[in-house]
Amino acid sequence: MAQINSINNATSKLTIDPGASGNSFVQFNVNASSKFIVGIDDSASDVFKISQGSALGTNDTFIMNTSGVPRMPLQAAFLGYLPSTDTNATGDTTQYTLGGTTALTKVFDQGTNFTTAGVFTAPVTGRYHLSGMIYLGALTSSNNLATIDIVTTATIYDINFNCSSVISSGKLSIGINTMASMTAGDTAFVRTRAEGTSKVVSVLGGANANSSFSGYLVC
Amino acid sequence: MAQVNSINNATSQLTIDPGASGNSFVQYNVNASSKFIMGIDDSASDAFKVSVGSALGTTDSFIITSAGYNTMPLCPAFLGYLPSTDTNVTGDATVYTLGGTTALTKAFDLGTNFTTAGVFTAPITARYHFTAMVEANNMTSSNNLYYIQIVTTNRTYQINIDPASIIGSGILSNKVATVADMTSGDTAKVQISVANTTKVVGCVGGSNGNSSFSGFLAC
Amino acid sequence: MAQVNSINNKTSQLTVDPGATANSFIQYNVNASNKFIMGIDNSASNAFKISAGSALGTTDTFITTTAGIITRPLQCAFAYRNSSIASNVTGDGTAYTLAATTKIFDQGSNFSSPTFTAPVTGYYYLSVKMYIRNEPTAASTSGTIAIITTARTYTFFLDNPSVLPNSGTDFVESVYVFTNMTAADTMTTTLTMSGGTKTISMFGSAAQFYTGITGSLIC
Repeated sequence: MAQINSINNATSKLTIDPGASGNSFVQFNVNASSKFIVGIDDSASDVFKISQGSALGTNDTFIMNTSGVPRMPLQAAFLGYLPSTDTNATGDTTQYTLGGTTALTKVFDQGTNFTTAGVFTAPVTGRYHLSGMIYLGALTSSNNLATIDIVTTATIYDINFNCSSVISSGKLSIGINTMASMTAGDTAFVRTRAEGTSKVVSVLGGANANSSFSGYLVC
Repeated sequence: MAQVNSINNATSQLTIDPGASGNSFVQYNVNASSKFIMGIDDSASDAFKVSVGSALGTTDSFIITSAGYNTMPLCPAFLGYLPSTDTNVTGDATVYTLGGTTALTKAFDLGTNFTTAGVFTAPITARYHFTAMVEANNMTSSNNLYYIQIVTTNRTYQINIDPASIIGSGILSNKVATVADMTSGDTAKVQISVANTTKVVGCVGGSNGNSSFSGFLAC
Repeated sequence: MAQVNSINNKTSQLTVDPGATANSFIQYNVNASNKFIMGIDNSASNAFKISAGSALGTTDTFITTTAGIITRPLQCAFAYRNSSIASNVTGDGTAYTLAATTKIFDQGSNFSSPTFTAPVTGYYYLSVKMYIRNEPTAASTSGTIAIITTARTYTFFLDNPSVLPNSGTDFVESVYVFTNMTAADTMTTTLTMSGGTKTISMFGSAAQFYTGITGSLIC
């Protein structure tokens, strides 16, 4: 087995080819322990992969298909929504946490960093995109405030306005989107509150994601 | 030509260098068919690239500049906006699809997965980030519901507001954004509905993006 | 030192292994100039990295943890907020350009208040959040929040905003877009309130993210 630590030739290329159907790859090990493998997964339409371990197709972290479309299947990403209405949740300034009463339904949770109680915990330090939507019901013209917050460990992102003039059906949605810097272990959740009445305002749930929390690691 | 299947030395490194100006790369082939090429594109300010095929700079799928900026030129991403106003499209609870009457103008559509009728089709199974904004006009204090929704194959994401008491000039915007799960072939589109008058409410278009639908593959 | 430009064997694999606890990598050079290095950073829990230069862990551009989580620490991404109130900025039709001067993060240093400048051609997600204060009732009859990019302007219409404030003084709104930007294109954001006097202020505080601008290069 030759020992080599440089390749220097006119075409400055290293070509890896099984010479038949099969995978074509570079295996990165440390002291005989397989760490990552980079190359072509012949059993998956010849997509380019970076996979953890020693087998393309097992713990794929980065995939690029032959059309150049990328995928990061283990990237932190989540979506949870309220499956049924929580009645009498706020109205009297009570802060209602999405998922704190009725458990959320998880649509997806890559990396298992999100709980059905509605709390996302950052697995690594990075910049995260977070989106929240709240659909309120049983509002009246006495409710002079509706808010939605994304509460992270570092800070609070909020939207609020006087909803008393925007109610006739008693229902109102509010949404918020932000990019947040999160340190590993930091948490984020969505909450809402309404003011001006007793605790009669509902947070509406259902099969759609009208009251939901979603997000992913951007970079 | 040496045959090698391991490199094991004190510096544990493989160096690839043309020895002059030129590209420096690893070519991944399967049975002589060029699949992906990865390395330094010397003609593009020495950016690091992963490209489909056998030529850096031709079908680049993943690029990192020397400053660390990462672009993915073939990542599904789109923006379409309404170029002119559609009059009398809702007001009586008619559901209007952005792009369903006047064709949208595409600002960009990487991968050609978006139609001027306003429908995005997911090319692969992944998580997608969608954003929509619509400007409606000719509303009055009689209109008691204005919702905007992103309708995906799996579920709908809706923001509801009651414009009755906040209409002065009759023009009001609404918006929604979310991260969504899409299986390959799933579709997404944007709709609005305004209720409680006759069908006199319009969707405002123009050269800017005031009524628009955008999205990208997040992970 | 052997010269090799092809590897062709039944296992079609190239293994790189220090044979001890240490980094395992491929160095991409052009004419002896270190461009990028790719491999396992043994000092960082054996994460897979693509780094500019010749040292894993120094200028990391792409990192995949053994759990498959991908970060891009030098990817263009920024968030700035206000730490204090900007008083009497609009209300009479003045278009106030938001100046957000407190940095939360700015990967690449591409934001200089009030302007973001795209460092590379690509597709960016941009958002602005505005905490609007001193909006007395029966004053402003219309308002807009705009994200102004070189390519186009995205305007969000607030109709009769004088009814929105909580307790007669405050309301919060945000606008977010996904857009194309050519290298050196710029982005600013504005608030324009009309129909009253110039007594509307933009609230800010160090306590939380009341008013601010965020953005990131997506692809």
